[in-house]
Amino acid sequence: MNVREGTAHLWAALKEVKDPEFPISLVDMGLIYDIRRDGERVEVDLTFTAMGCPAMEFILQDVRERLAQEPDVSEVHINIVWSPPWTADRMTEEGREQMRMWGVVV
Amino acid sequence: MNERKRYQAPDELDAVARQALINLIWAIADSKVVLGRRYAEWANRAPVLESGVAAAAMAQTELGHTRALYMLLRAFPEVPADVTDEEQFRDHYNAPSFLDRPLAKWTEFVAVNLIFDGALTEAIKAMRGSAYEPLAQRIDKMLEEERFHQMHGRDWLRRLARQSEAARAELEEAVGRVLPETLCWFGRDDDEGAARLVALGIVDATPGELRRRLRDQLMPLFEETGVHAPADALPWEQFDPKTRRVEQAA
Repeated sequence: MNVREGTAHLWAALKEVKDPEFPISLVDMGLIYDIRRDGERVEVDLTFTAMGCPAMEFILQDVRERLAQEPDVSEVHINIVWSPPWTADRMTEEGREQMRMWGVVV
Repeated sequence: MNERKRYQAPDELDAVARQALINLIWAIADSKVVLGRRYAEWANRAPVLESGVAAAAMAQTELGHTRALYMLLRAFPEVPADVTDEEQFRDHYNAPSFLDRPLAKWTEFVAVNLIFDGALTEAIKAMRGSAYEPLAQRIDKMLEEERFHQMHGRDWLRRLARQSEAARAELEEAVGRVLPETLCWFGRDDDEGAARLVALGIVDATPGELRRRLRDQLMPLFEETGVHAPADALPWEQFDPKTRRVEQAA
């Protein structure tokens, strides 16, 4: 059974994974849509800012590696989702603030 | 289309719809691969730096879309594995013949950008809210990313048309090469598979309707700019519905 309970620390873990283009976490970029778990199997719904994102493979690899470090995770499954499409509205306030620091207005 | 039955996987489709959907996605994905390549070749030689950057950005978008579309095709076991492996170069693509070679002139780039890229976008627009769920989920993102391509094509057509008589003549030649095959690309009016996709709500327009939509987009622009566009007699005798190509005589 896929549940969202017991995933708070997984969200926290993904807050450490940065977008390769801007040093902002995937969570603050609003790229992580959902995390569910079934025992030690974790499922992540994730999107990218663009379908032609050149950093896709890096991001997927980073997510897998970071989640695998959690002691209660033995399997990570990532679904790439495109609906609803990502927009800057999905960024957290923290993410926006960091973006402004890098000179990008969002 | 929202009231209709929705389909989650290929096995839920009948044979005619299944084959037609493969043909459609394959044609769009292959066309975007080749289009992306043709765009990328201009990244370093566009007439102004900004358009070189735009060409590179548009190439990246097209290649990104192919990745998402080939992923859809992988769910159909009858599609050969080498087709959906985007890393692998193939000898043949289901893409129009005017993309077989690099685009020699910037006017050709503009004609392809405006007309054929526009046709692909019309075909994708017709899948908004598609009853085939895996497709529907990808459409909005693709359309959002394509908006800028149309603006680029339109702006450049206007700019070239008023630049000089010579530029306009060159542009007309390019439009003459790209437009008829593009209009054929949607498929024949009596295509049984395409009609089935409309009946199931997988797309919302027949090939004839898509042709009309593209003409409605382009013709006022050609009129405004004084660019003569031959759009009436289409080369159906050389059109192959499987590859959606107009085969040019050797």
